[in-house]
Amino acid sequence: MLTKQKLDRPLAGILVTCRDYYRTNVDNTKRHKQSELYKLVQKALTSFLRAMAGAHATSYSGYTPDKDHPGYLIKLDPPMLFRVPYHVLPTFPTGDELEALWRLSRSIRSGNRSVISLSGSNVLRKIFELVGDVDFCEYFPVDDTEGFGQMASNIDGTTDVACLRLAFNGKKWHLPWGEDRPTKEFFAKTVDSSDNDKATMKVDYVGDVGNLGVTEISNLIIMVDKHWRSAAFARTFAAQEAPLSPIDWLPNQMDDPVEMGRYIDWLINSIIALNARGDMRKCLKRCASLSRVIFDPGTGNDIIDLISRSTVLLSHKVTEVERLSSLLKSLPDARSQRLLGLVEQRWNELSAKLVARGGAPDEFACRQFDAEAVGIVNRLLDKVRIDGDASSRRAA
Amino acid sequence: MTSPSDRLADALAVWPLDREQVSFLHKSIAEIDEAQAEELLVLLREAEQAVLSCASVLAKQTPVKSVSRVPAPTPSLPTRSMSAHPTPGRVMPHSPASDQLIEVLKNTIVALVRRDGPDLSARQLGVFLTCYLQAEAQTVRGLAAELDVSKPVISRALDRLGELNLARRKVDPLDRRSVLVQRTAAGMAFLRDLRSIFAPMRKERMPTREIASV
Repeated sequence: MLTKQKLDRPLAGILVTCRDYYRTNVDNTKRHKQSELYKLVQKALTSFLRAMAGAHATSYSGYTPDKDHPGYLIKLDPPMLFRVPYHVLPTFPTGDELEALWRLSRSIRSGNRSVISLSGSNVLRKIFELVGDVDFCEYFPVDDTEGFGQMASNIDGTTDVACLRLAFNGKKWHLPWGEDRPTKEFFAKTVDSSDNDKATMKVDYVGDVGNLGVTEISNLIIMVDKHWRSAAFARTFAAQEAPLSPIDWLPNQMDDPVEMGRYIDWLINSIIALNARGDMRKCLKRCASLSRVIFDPGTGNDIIDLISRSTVLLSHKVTEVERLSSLLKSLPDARSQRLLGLVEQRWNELSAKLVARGGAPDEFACRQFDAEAVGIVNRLLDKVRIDGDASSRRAA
Repeated sequence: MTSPSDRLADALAVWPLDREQVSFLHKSIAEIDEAQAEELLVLLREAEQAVLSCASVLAKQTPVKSVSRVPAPTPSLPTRSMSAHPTPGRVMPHSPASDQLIEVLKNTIVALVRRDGPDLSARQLGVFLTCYLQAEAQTVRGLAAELDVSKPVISRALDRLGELNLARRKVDPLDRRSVLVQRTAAGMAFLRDLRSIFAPMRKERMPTREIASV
């Protein structure tokens, strides 16, 4: 009986070819998109995204494949809607945690027409239970004049969420807000979807997010025109975003080989840079994302094993909570003081957990963690590199 | 005649999925109805064919002139393809690529002997790199076979690596007759040093990877 061919290497080869398409023709993707081979790669990419979404729909209750966007699954739980890339579904938050994140997205969203997505390592919450802050990415149509009003009033925050900082067009504002705080008119006059500096805005918050506790939150707002185009698309990646807004058509999708290639290229470059810098904690997050997208499940399993054996991440989380606590101590208002009480409670819980697991890691344990992480990184990069070298010669 | 869920499990077996995905999928396909299973089988077959035909076309492509516009990232280690896939039509011993590699090798060795750290012989370095660049745990016997040298040679190299705390021996808990070679934190640091020496030189010396274009 013939053994069927395993598809991990052909798939990794196709995905690394996507990377080569991006790297080879970063300034002129249109030319490549006309080639027959490009169409073949896109067909393979679309087919497997569609098949995997179909397969995962059988296992995750309430999710159905999104027929218009290959690779995504939709869960409708009115008024909530989630559109999740299939490869992050096994690690995507669920239940009360997901509902808390959806409610949080409503309290920081700019207007009713924008598309807001959960992004970054938050979509890998089940691997990295102790992720840093909660990241969102929001596509905001600049012709939504009402939205500018919402954007300005978000600075006031809500009962549970305080806005800490806002960065836009090379300028920064922070709490306590002065008289020069941005207004609806300022936003309406300044934002420009065709200018990279004026097409992105970063807003940082701290808030009480249900059963996730008090956490830092950030929202990267991408200004888009009425055709959903933007000069700032290069700052986002479809494969690590789970849109939480009802919309018929996603501005940024996974089935474009060049976009997929851009994401893989960014991940590989980040892993190499973080590894060289010795920031293994962050490097492992990128490795987890890369392993999920290039079909290397072994790496994800190795990372989970390493995290479960080490207290490095837990200890880092305790330090982060301490930093958040000192920040809130410097803010005298009642909301900040209430959040401070919750943060201190969280610190006590995490510290107790850390003590129960043997306390903060010593230098040897940190080195051991780094050494094992470097091993994971090298094995992953080696796999990509071998496939990449082979496929790069082929990307005609 | 096999059931739809068996055929589905068979069709899914070729896809690389992680532990959690596999356990979820296998639990649910047993309960899936026949129409759903057939629909999914069609999707999986189509995808499998598309992936395999794309991979087979990619395998037949040949390199053409590079038009790379994004600088290649500096790899932390030499790529395997440099040795495994010499440029077609060139005689390796005298090709510019091999000359450049020799130059990089020379400069790496010079940088290694100049630095304030362990000075390893070629044999010791070979054993060290084999231990650190291969995913699986190494044994003395395995290293001797891999490097095609005798076991006493490996043993002496490991003695020296042990003195420098770059590797240590440990009895294999599963087979007490066998001795495993363990990596150490100092060894990982040495490997990182090696990369930092090698990386800028490779960037400087090696041509940008030739990426084919339309």
